[in-house]
Amino acid sequence: MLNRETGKKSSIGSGFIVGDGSQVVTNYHVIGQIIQEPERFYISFLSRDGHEGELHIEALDVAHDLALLRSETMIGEATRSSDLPPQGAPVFAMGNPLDLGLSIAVGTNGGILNQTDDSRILFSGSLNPGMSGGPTFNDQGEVIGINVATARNDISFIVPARFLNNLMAQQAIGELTNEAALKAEVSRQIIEYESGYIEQILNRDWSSVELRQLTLPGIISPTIRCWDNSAKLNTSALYKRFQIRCANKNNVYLDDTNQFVGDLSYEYYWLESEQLNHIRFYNLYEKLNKDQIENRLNEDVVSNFNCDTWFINIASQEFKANMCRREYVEYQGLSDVLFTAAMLGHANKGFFITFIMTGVNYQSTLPLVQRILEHIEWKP
Amino acid sequence: MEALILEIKTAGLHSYHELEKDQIRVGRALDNDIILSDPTVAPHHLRITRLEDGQIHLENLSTVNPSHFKGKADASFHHDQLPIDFKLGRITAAILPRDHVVEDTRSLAGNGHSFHLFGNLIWAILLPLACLLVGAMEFYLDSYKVIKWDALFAYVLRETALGLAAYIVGLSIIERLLVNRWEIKLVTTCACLVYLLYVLAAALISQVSYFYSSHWPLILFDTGWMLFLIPTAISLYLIHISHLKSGRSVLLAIFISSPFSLPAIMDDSMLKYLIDDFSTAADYHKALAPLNWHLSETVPIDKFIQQAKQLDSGQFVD
Repeated sequence: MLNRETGKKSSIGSGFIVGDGSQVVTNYHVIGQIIQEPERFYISFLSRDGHEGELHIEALDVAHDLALLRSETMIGEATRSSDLPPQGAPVFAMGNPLDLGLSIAVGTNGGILNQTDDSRILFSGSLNPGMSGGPTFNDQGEVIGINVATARNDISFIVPARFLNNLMAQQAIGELTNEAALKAEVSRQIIEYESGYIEQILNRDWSSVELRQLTLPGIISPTIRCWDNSAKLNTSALYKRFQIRCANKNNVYLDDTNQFVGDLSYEYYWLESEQLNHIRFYNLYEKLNKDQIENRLNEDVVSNFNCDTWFINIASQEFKANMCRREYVEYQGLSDVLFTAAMLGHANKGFFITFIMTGVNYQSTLPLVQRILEHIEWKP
Repeated sequence: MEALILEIKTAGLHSYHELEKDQIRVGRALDNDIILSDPTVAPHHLRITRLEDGQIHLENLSTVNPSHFKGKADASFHHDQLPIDFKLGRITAAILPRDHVVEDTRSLAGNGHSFHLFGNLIWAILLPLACLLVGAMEFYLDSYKVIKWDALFAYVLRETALGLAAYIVGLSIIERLLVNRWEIKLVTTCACLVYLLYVLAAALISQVSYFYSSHWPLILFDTGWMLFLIPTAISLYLIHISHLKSGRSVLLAIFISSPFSLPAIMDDSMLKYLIDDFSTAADYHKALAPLNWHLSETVPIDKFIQQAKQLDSGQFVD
């Protein structure tokens, strides 16, 4: 990415030639700055043999962090792609780490990660900043994926090449040179992806988890992992609490400011006490009713939350529920959703459920909330 | 000749001097007929002469802080109508006829009954004890661990006793400046009653807020308490117990309460609502009450989902 005023690099990434020899694939997050300020930046390539030129966006796959770019001139020969080699096979990630020049990181194929909605391959090798968008080859020199992220300590992630094929098959989105049109396209793709993701979850059978007198939705998608989140209590505490938190791992990069969206999490919180009287118990119960979406976005990025309160009958128990939503300023149709519900009517037992989704179409989350609530069972 | 009275007004009890002679000199020097020890009064400040035709001639004897008559600081002035109001330095004075009508007698706070709430020593002891008990109760209800006595005492001392003592001392000093008397029993009784009323009202308002599933009762209460109820309570105290005049009492009450009300205005949640300030927090209704009374009906899940579809978008902040 180069600044039009200074002509200097603002950020770097890697890419490789595909298609007819004038197309280049990289990560969407590598060119994310142009979504924010297309008038200020432009995309340029520097080939291994020293050729330079400008690139334009031809197609995007925001959900899988891919961008297809086109040069007005031929750049070189396209690389061939292939299926994923067997798990444990050696693979080679190529890129321009820290702008130090082309280099190859050797590692092994760790297989498709189902907790990322099958959108990532685990690469047991070392990817570094600047290698994003570069190709990962098998030992035949065929592209099996695109470098995308790292969690350090030789744990890195690759986008499978099949998404590249989908991207190539996409109709060109045309000249999206203005900010509004680019953002509208990004919003459309994220909404489509997240709605499909929710649809998949709704079409599955869900496992259940037991928490004291309640049966609750457990793993509702392979992308979800559940953890015990119960905090250690002081020995003088007059109550007990048990927490389970379930969350997904398939976040979607939106832009430099917003970073990632696509969080889906739900949390269960059971509270009980034999020593606290009714009033003391409810004082504590109310104090713990404070769930929020944790991020530090400002008013340039999101709206204020709008919330409303309901009293709902869930599994023959009365709950006080709140539904809140806020909108993304520059991405029409994208919302963050927070739903909380607290069980009422018991002198010394309490239960909260919290559901959060970020960067999603608000209406499409409601069937998921409904299914979660309908899954709950109470054991007297 | 009609007997006249010179009234000297002070913060405490006013003093009255009968003008027995035809000519009287007022000032700070000891050879005056009426001596005023205020440093803003000149040694020989003013001469008052009663003329044969009944008029009164006032003559300034000092060029420093001369007395003003009808807004003018003339050397001398003739008057034919009573009362005559004027100033001697910073002291307010008036010449009145002996039959000048005085204000109606105000009932004594407590009205002489030995168990009346105000000004009675028993209540002045019992009410602070009740406040401390309420403070201890607040600690107990907000504590979710095994109660430790030292923590309880520290809380009551910090949150209730010191706060209440500061109010009582502060208000007693103000009372002393206003009426020249120490009214510690009265102030203690009133401060404790206001505190107990606040605790009771706050508990009730919380329940009202839960009933309506709305922040507004609490916001209105917090704002109203600081902006209206505290000044009103002080005004009533000043009018009915300190026996100050109504207009002056209201102004004084606003002044006395401003250290509490101004910060409340600056950091008021109602204002934040009205000016649509930005917040990353979802401001949903978190209250959970043991007394589960609420106005909204309890709906089944599908009806909730239908209603949730109508939830408006969040408001953007410019």
